[in-house]
Amino acid sequence: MNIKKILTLFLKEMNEVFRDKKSLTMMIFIPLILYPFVLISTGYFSGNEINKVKNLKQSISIFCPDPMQQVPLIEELKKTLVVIKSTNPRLMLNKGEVEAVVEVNSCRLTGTSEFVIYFDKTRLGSVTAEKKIKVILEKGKKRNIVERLRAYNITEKILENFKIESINIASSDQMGAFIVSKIFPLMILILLFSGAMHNAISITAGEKQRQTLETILVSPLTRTEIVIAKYLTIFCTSLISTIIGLISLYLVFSYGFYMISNLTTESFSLSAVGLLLMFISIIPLSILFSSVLFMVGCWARTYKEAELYNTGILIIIIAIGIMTTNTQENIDINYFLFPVFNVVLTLKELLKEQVNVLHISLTVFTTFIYSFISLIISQRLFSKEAIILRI
Amino acid sequence: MLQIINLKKIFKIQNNHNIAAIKNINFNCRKGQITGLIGPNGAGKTTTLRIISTIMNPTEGTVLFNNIDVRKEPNEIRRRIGFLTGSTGLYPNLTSIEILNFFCSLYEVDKKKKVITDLIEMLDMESFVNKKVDSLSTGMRQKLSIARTILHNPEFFILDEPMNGLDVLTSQSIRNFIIHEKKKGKCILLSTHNMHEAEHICDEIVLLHKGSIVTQGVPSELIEKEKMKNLEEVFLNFIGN
Repeated sequence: MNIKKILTLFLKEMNEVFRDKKSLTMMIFIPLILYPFVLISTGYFSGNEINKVKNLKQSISIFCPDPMQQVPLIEELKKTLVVIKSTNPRLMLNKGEVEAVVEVNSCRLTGTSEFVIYFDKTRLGSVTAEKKIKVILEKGKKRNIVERLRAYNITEKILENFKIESINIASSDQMGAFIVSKIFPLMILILLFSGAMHNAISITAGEKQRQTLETILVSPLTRTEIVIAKYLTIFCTSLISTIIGLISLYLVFSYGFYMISNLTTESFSLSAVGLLLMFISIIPLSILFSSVLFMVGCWARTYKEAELYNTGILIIIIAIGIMTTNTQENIDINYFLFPVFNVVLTLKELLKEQVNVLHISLTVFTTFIYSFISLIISQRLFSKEAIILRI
Repeated sequence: MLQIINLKKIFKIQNNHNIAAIKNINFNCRKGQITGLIGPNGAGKTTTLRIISTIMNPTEGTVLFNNIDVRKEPNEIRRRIGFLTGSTGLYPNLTSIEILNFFCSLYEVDKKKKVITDLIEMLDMESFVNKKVDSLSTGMRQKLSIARTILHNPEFFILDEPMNGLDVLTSQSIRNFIIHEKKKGKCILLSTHNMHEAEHICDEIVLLHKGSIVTQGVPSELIEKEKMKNLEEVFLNFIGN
């Protein structure tokens, strides 16, 4: 094996990568600019929208067959909501003219009232109105009970013998890490694969299509040397894209929470060791994805064919990512044997600052094995003339 | 000298169906001579050239170049051949000088700078040497392809329809290059569809049809033997139009 020749081909490929606008966009622009922009802007705007809706006075309507019961309720609701009179409140709700409808059914005989809130869960304003109505009604209910108890000379303290309170023990940092662990691994997965996708296709199926591959095949390079040089190019592209993405996403989540601190109490921070361990866990997956991309590129006849296969694989990767980010805690150790699953699970743990050496080792080791197998298959494919010469 | 001995290539296609692209062909290609490989589409010309240039392996048979077996020492053969096709692409994002530098490094050419300077001068490439391939005209690209093919001073040229789709001027420059290399004593194997061109520049003709050699010899002798006016008529006579 001639290292100098491998290096010559590798440097030529890298030179082409850095001159190709599409490669640069996928490798640098998307992780560095697009991801942070999309994440911060969506977080900021959706948070602002929620705040804006909360501060608005939503319009509601009340349907009450007994006018005597309606008066105190309307006065109470009017303080935080706009109450609109209507003969058909449900129709108004359907049309979106009011955000919620409160139906009051009172029984004078027993002195009880039943309140039914109609709202539309698909509308943010409607959901907010429902919450506000519930709070007001709960307060009214409590006041009513207190008044009744007083009538029997019973103090309201009798109600306090059974108190339920939920306290979130997670710190703001832990809450931040929990939120980040739902998004971050998935984004890293997408970056790892898509960052090198264009370049991988270009130097395999693209070369077949451009008919530049033959010039390399007749040069004094062995098939193995060509495979190594091309594979290294894909791996480097994937790694560059991932390093940029990792730093970029880390900064986005660290400073992103600070930027929307008026909307949320969560924060996010990760130690340098944590970041390094994440990088170590990602490298084997980058190796695996690179060999998969190389394999697909060798197999495909044209750029478009390879793009089609890779899009399918990317969808599968995203699906695995989504499945894994929503798995339960304390997952069975066997899951760390499955490729992609194990890296996402390890990243999730590391983001929560849970360093499990066994999980990390198992993830790195098994992914390396899968990568090695995949690389051998790629090399075999590249040696098969029926595959490499099919156009 | 290049010797093709009992060369056979079978392609396996779907449903265990085999197609014999080449059926036991034999011919030689001597130094200082241009051997023309002619035949209709699908005759097996490109497959033969691909086997000789080490891109493909034969199913049976041997290819010897100066007694070196192509199959046993492919890297040695690759160092000695110059491969040029009409459809060969060039890296669009690299400049001409970068492409020449790259191939010089791959072929471990001595005195790289001098070789490149001489080639640029010989092929009149000064005006576009620093331009990206993307922005070059077809003629400029073809000059660059020629430079790439000859930079390691190969002993043997494999030319697969090198003038295919080119204009008259560019075809002329390729023709000149082929004749120039022949005069230098190089061994040239040329595949072409242009019978007129083959008749005038080839020293020997090998006519392939459906993977077999139907006739071979010196063009003028073939024409005389078959009592035809030109090589095109000989071709049509054998192919059966």
